[in-house]
Amino acid sequence: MTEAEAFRSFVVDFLRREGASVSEEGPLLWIGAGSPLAEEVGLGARFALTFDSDASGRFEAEVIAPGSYGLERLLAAAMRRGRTGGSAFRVESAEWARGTLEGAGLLGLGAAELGRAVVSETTLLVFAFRVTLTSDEKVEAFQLVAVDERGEAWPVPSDRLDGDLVDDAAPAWIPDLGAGYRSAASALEGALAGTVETFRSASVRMLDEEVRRILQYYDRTVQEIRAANAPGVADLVRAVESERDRRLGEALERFDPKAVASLVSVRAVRVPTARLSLAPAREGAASLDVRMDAWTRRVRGARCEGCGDPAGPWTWEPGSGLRCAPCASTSAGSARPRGRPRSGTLRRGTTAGRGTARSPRGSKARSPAAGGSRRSG
Amino acid sequence: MPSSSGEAGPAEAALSLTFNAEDRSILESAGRSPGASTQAWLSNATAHRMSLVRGFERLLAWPSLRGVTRYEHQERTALRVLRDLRGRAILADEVGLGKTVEAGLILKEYVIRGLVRRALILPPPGLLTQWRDEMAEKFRLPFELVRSARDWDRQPFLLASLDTAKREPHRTAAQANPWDLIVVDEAHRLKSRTTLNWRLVAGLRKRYMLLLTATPVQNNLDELFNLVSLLKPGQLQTYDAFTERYVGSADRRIPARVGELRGRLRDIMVRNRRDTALELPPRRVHAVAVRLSPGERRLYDDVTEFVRGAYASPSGRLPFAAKLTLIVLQREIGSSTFAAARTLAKLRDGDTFGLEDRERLAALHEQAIRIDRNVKADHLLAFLRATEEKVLLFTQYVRTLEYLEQVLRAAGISTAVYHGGLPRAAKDRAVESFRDRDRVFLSTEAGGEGRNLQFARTVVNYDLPWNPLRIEQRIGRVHRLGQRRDVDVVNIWAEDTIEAYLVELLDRKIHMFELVVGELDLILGQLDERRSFEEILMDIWALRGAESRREALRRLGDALVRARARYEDAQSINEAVLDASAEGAPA
Repeated sequence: MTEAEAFRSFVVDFLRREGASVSEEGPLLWIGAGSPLAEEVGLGARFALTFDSDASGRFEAEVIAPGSYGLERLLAAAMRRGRTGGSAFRVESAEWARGTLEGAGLLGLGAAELGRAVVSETTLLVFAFRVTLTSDEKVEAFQLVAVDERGEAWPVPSDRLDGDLVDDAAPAWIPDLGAGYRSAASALEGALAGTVETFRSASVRMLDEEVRRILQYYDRTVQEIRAANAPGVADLVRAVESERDRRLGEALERFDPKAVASLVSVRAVRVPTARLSLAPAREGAASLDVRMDAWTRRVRGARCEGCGDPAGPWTWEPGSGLRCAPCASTSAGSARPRGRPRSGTLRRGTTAGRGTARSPRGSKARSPAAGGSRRSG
Repeated sequence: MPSSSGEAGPAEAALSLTFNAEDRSILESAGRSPGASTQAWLSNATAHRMSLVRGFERLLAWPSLRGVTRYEHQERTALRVLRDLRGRAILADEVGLGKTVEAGLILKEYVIRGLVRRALILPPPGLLTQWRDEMAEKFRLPFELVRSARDWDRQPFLLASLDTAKREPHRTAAQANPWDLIVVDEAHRLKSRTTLNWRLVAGLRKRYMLLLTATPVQNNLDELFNLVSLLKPGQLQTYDAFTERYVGSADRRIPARVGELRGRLRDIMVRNRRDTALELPPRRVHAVAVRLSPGERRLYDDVTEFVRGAYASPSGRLPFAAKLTLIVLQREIGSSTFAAARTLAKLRDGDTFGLEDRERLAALHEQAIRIDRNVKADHLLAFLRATEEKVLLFTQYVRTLEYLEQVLRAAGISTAVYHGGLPRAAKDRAVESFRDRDRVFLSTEAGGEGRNLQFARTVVNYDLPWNPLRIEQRIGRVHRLGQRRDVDVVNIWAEDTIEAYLVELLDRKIHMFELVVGELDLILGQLDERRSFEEILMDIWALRGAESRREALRRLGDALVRARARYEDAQSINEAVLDASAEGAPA
């Protein structure tokens, strides 16, 4: 699907769902909108849209393209909707549990147990965040984070939204939404720690270069002025230094990195969830109780015995237990691979809510739901 | 201040993910209402994902631009400025390759990504409205002209001439608040760091800045140093170090270590050349000198006599507005008797002139309305019958346009009519009709600015605007990127008129009709003149004696020839310094 086709599909679906009439006429879409929607979108009760900028002169049609007024208004209207509510994930076949275990690399341990799995419906809280990194450029991401009834939180790939989700008349809200939000925020920090750090260090590197060049240039210019010993040296030097300070201020403003996450929706999603015990074939090893749901397909309760990675996939090694792929690739998994975080950090996921989770090193994120208190560092 | 030593540990300077205080309102509302449908939730997510900014891996603006043809060199330039030069660059394309479009494209990309919310464009005074129209029409960016010092805080997108912005109280107002992006057109006006121009721009707080000039070096290499230092101080080292290393001799136009210098310039400058980006096809100029009919001749001479008498009268007798009206009248009579008739009637009925003059004007008006056809139109028809090409036919005046529309329809020549008074939809239909059916696109000066008319290749100037840039704009409608065929320019003008002077100066002296669009402005910029070209021309025309007029015309012609030579000289220096392929460039 091209970008224009994606815009078209979104616009038509959105307007029809909002009760507007939509008819197609060549390159134009004619829209008849009821008064609240017409007012909100600000394009009138009857208007034409086009996805071809050069056709916009016809009937004063609004162009729908990145940055266009028409698209911005429609996107903003859609963003004001659907911020809360409940859904349920429907699944016909029970094969998802086998597929989930297989995807996590645990089928070998759990295949025999699948028949004894306890399947019930649980409610996940799904927090959607828009993350914006800004310095002299801007990079954004959309990130879903699910939180289960135990407070465990994990990132959910956006393509899960394409699954079979339907309205759920009675969402089972978890009373402490604030706690869920804090878990989600913590998981988000963990998931993005590497990205944020890469962005920060790139900005600082550019700022360093800029500052070094500015200082060298103005300091040497001052030396040259002094060496020339022309009349009015003092005034000239003051002027140059003042220009230098202005430039330094400009550079700081320009390359100052910022990372902001904004919650854009929160939703209760009822999902079939399976619980089962995996029985590792190792002497003295305890069985592993895991949970997994049909929608996010995340196996919870397992983690790499080398680095603590809770996301998988893992492999089972009789001598050393459950290992994630990087740990398994090191010799017998005896040493923590270089560059990998210590167990317990949130680099690739989180166990927030169990009292063991930690924010990434140096994090000072604030959560409004946490009463504005500074998060643990 | 960040450490330049690299000693500071990342933990000390760690960047925190800040959570938005507005999040609380969503959490609170979640408990209060049954909530929205699943479709609304999915739509919310889709809207957010569609509007995400993902860096500069590609340009987003193209689909929202109007009447802008996509050229590879412009796309490449915009991406390079956005990605590699991080929004601070000298756009030094050779004339005619679309620096304005490149700047607009970069600006639009920043606006779409929310990185530019406040922008200032500083063009020469004569290009202010052209920039405003182009930004609105092509890029849908609503720029406003600064008219008073209060305007600086009122609008986020502003246009001001450097001449205005550098003077108080504008200067203080302009420098008071930070700008996200500054564009300086014809940036060679910043060549000297001791000027108010340079100091104004240096004192503006900005995140991104684009300097547009085809000739960063005009007289000597100091100008290049000053321009680059404005954007990135230190890029060419200090002034003394630059002189020692890159200025080859006492002649400060000759560069040394050219390869190294170009290497440093690559970090700050993008320059596309016509021979590598896009070569335009040649233009052919055809002069159609017309002998006026006796009635037209008499009217032309009588109107001219009246204008000269009133124009050259002792100063103070005529208000400035009346002087302008006389200039308009003189221009109209050069266009058609129909255009002049309306102004003659207005002056006859007004109170600008005394009774005696008004009687004279009434007689001139009677003379004008007795003429029911103009010889120039016969020549136009003869030309149109001799060609099968589609033709852009330009006139300055709506009255002349109405007359020509009648003439063409009577002759059975299908014609699309376009003028500034038409609503946008009617303008679109006119362009479409010309493209699909009509032979002639009859237009006033508003003629298709920003629209693609390159499917035609013939321009007929039924009259000649005294401002040469207007003539150039007309030709530029077809002689622009995307034109693949030779372009014919037909100038119809009457002998022994002010338009004949114009042709003498522009065609015979500086061969204006062979220049690339944009070059003329650079040549006229070399004239040491505060008056506009139109004023210079009128001042000559208003002289009483024929010999005085001839002598003044000769002097102006010589000045134009010198201006062109200076421009060509600057061109060669720029080629030697900036273009790797320039033959004979010093090593």
